[in-house]
Amino acid sequence: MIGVLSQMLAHRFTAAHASEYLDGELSDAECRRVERHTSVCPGCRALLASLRRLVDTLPGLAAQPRANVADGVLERLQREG
Amino acid sequence: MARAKAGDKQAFESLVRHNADRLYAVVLRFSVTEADAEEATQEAFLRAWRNLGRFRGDARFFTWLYRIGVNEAKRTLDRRPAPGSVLSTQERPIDQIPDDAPHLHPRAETAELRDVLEQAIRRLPPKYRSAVVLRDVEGLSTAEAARLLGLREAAFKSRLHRGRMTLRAAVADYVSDDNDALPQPRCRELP
Repeated sequence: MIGVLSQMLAHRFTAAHASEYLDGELSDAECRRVERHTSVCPGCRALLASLRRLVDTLPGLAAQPRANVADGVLERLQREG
Repeated sequence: MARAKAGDKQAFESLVRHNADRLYAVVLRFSVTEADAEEATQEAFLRAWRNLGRFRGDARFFTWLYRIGVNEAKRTLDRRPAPGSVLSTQERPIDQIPDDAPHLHPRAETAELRDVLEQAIRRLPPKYRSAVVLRDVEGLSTAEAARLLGLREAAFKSRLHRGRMTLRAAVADYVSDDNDALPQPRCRELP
């Protein structure tokens, strides 16, 4: 019974702190708690893997620069600055 | 920067040329249309120029500029909320969000998925969008992004996680379960 409760709490902890784990922002003890749990929980392991892929993909979305943005700003600056 | 702060307009113009594209790219994610983004970018630089004396130099210039630009864009967005916002996960405990996206597929690197992610980001509630854009797309540190948004780090992290979870659900069609390896172990040692 205690084991099940402990497992459930670890599951909740991992789900709530998955981003902090991936960002390296958990304490060592918390980090070990996540890793202990994910070693026996395929669902949480999958959660971490997919979040990692997502986080690794997002920097590639940096928007393409658009021509003439600076020119528009400088015109406004000349007129109103 | 020192010359611009002293009122040298030419020096400020060179700051504009150096930072305008990047600011526009960020502001665009908080805007409904490109025209709104351009307007917000122009307003941000005008405000920056008029208030340059208040820039204390304890933050990076671009971080300061970000704050002005994002606030300008959010002002516009508040007036014109984006239609068709996705159902946010904000009302549910994070562990009750359906686990319908077990793994992102390698297709995550394709242009198609990038498009899907772009659209999903634009549909995120603004408070989650700002966290994801600043931290994950623009690469600011947690501390920088939290400061920029005027949040405590704990509150920022919570928004970031919920934003990521919402995005993850939005790209469910691009997942497969061909990889269940634990990503990049972070702990020094397991007991």
